[in-house]
Amino acid sequence: MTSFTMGKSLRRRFHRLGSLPYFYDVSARWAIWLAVPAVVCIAYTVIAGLVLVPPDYQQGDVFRILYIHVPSAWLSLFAYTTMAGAGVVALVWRLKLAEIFIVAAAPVGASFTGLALVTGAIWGEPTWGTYWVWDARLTSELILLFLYLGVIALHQSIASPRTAGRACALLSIVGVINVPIIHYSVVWWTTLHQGATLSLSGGSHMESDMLWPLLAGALGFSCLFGWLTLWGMRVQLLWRERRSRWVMRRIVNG
Amino acid sequence: MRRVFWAVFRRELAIAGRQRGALVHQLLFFVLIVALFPLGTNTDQTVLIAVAPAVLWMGVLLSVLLSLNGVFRADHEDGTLTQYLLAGEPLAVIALAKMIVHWLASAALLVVAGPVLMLMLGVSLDAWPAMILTLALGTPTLVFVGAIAAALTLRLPRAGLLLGLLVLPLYVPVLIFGAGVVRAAIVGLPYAGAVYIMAALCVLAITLGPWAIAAALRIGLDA
Amino acid sequence: MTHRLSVAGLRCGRGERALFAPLDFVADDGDIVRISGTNGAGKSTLLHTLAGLLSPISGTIDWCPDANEAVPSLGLIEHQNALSQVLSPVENLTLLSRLAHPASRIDQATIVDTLETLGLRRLAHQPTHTLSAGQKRRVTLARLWLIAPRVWLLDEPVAALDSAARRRVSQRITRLAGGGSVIVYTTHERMGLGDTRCVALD
Repeated sequence: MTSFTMGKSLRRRFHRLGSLPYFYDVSARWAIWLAVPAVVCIAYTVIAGLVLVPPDYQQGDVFRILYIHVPSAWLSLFAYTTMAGAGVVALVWRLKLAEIFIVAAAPVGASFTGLALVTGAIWGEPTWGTYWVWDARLTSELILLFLYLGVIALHQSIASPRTAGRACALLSIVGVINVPIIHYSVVWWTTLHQGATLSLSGGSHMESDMLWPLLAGALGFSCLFGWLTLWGMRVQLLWRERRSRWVMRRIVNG
Repeated sequence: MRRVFWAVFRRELAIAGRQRGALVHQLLFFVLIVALFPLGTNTDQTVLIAVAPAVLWMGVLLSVLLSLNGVFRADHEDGTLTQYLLAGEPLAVIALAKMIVHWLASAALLVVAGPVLMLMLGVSLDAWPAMILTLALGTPTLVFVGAIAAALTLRLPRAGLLLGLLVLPLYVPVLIFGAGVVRAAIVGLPYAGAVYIMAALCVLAITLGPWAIAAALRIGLDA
Repeated sequence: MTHRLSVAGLRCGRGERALFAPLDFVADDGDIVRISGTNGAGKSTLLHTLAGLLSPISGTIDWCPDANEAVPSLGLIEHQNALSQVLSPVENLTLLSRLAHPASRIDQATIVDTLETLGLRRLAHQPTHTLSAGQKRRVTLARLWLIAPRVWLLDEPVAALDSAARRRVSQRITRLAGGGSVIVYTTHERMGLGDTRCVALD
């Protein structure tokens, strides 16, 4: 009996979330709950990373870029995975919001990927003596960036927003199946040619005073991702529904 | 289901048989890429042998990509694709038949041509089995994965460039394993593991690919 | 009572712009529904939407199925003839009838006979690209004789046909409706089919 009523109320919630005006109104409130932790956590990470954490005994101050680099690399993978998850929802249940999520998340995810690549290159120069090496992680990150750019390009090429959303959903799913395959093939490839075997993974025993800022950074970046994607979704939503009455009403009423 | 599969299979085969010119064009394209490559570098044998696997596989990637650009176009323009969508049978079965013929008609020639071109780049005959094996396992993967993106971009003008952008990142594993196996064979390293992985990818692409192509065709036609 | 097809508040279009005002109509077995409208009024888009190839912008389409099937079988003849240019009419029609009826065997003789009714006996084995526009249209309309879906959606069936062929196709459509099929067709001109209903798009 209980499960029945629970299922019913859950379905109503789901249905309400599927209602676009409801989402538009409620997401404005959610944004605060993402924005505040994002700002607080990232501020803590930056201050801790730059000031509180002692310099590394090998790398000196250079390693501090890690507090930006590692969270953005994590987020680049996380964002793509959520896009594929939303892709399944979009194709199976035809939920418009899931399509909009993919479209809004792609540029944010691509930015994190770009940030991870750029900070990696900046970090690589003083430690490895070169901006770019064909290391397994860097290479898979680069391919991931191309996967993101593919989704964005596909979305821009299709005029009808619904079709564009569904096309991007399918491409994200195909892409996410490929992400681990690409990663392991690149790992195999770098072990095959015994050239530069430079790895970041050496010495993963982190002191806890180094670890906390990193975890805070990961949390902050996740919230930032959610926040930016939510705003992107709101913009997409207004654009898609610009001819409908509820958008008109909200614009007129401010 | 079998009857529809064979009906589409026979039709595609008949069409491919009557358009043999197009098949030769693709082969010529592949040969040209590989033949022009040494002109851009020096003809030092050690340099050529070192890059031969990569050049051959890039040639394969590009010619498969080029052939996929028009794989659904004729069917879309003459309206056959609509009839496929309305058929009572799963669209994936039709997609499977169509892509198998496409592979037979286009990529199979590359499997034969690859080893010959390898000789031109100065690679010894010892690497032949590796080249043939990887081409035979890799090209179906390329065809089935690429067809998903080809279906998505079906109705888009100037889809060719976009297709490359969507597909080439997905081709990375095939390129790495394909070229890697050939390179390992040239220097005499063991490569069985990578061949098994290529076989697994091939099976994955052939079993899941048609369903994704079918979904992509429905989306692509809506665009 | 439930109708074979009921359309309520239907708006169609590619993208987000609807091509015509919301449509409501019903059709039962044996009905011939004529859809009229100027060029670009959305006639073809409406047929595609009825066939389930495009999603409607809003509104509903309800096909009432028979007891033994999930959805009523549906045949669509579009502007495009669905003929491969390099294959012969017989080869093309073999595939098209196999797609519609996977189980039953429609042999070559039946196809050639049908082509003969339409005056195409001589061209049955020629490559399709050697045929004129009207001849190609007749080849694809041979489907009206070869396959028997519950519902026929016909987009400008007789455009480019001469008067003799036009008469033959009209007779066939009337026969099919008499046999209980639902016919939904678009046209610019009068075809004299004894339409049950006329839906005007504006």
